[in-house]
Amino acid sequence: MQYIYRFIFIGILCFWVQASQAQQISFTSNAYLGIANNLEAGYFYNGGGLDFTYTHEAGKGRILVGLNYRMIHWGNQVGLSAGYDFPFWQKGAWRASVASEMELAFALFFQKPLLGWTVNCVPMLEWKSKKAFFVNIGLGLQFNHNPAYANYGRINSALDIPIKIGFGFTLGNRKRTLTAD
Amino acid sequence: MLHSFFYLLLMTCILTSCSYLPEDIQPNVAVSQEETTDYIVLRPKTAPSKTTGVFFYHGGLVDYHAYIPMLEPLAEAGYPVVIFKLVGNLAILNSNKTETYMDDFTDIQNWVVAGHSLGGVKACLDVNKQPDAYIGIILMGSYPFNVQLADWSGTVLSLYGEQDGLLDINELEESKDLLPSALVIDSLSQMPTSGTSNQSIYHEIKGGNHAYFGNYGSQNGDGVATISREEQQAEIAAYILSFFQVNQW
Repeated sequence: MQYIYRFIFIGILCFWVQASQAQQISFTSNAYLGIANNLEAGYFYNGGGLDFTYTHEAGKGRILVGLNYRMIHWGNQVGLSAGYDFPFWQKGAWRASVASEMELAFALFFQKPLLGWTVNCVPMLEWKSKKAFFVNIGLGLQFNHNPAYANYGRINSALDIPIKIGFGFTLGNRKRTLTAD
Repeated sequence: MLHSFFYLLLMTCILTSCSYLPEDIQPNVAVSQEETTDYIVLRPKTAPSKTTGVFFYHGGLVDYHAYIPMLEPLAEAGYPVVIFKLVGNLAILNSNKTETYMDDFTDIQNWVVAGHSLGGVKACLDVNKQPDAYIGIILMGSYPFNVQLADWSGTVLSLYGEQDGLLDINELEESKDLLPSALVIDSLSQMPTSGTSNQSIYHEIKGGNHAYFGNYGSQNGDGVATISREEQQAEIAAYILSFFQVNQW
């Protein structure tokens, strides 16, 4: 069963790599500072992770679709996320926004992946170079829940402060023009 | 180029991060379980609590709850056991947990650090960093790496399964030089009754394998055990308790 899930993820990733010929792709490394879980409140390190996000301009902001990997209290998990990034300030190469995402997460276990979910809201600051390259940082709030893990351990929810540092590329801004031979 | 590297890194993380879930865990009425964000503590409910405690690092990519049944007999006999929760379920990604949490247990005067598989490697690294803080190491299907404890005043118990398909027995043999002098025993009656200070006691569990140190099913690459998981775990408990008793802990 685990191989089926792996192939699905590889397929989705390959699709995204192709899709990235338009709009933007970004890569983000994350550290998660836990501040509470369903047992107790308090600071704890709740793992690190990587995001691969495809963004598409829509309205004033951007639609976000991503694949995420992270370590978390109940092991490791991958997630498929979708959300919207709404800008509230722009000046020159700088852009500040609030990204809100929902994620369907699969805790990675050999016997069976355990389905969970995540919601987050992360204010982001982005700087874009003239060569279609940008970097961004973010600090926000994220709630994670894995109902099925309650059958194995007592902690299956966590509230984190995600710290994000990433970079990306704007692709597909080149306009195609027809030329007469 | 950069995005290919990141993509490759992400895929590698995903494909190598599956852990084993715990299986067949029944609550032991003689042992209390306290779970916090950082660890699970097993303590005796009825027997008087001893002043020697056990820190336990679980094996790589195995859920920590899977080791509760194997460790419960120690708690039942009076030895508090602290099972660390490890980020990513990998001991090697976690900094010195023993040092960090030792002060949470003021009633415990002496500490033994134990670990299964990759957790055993981490246990040895912790002791190598602060040799005076610990009195013993228990290795389960594991051996030390990148440490030098041959002159350490503590003592080591190394248990491994005859059918362990994940333990490199040649590496285990070579690693004996890194620990106090080796003594191989085949039965409990050969355990030195006057204590095992400055010694490393090795015992091969006949018919045992790697996965039966915990309750998490069978493990990829492991050998097929010819004894039951219950038999292997009973033998593990008997050797550890004998090791504690001869050292008067």
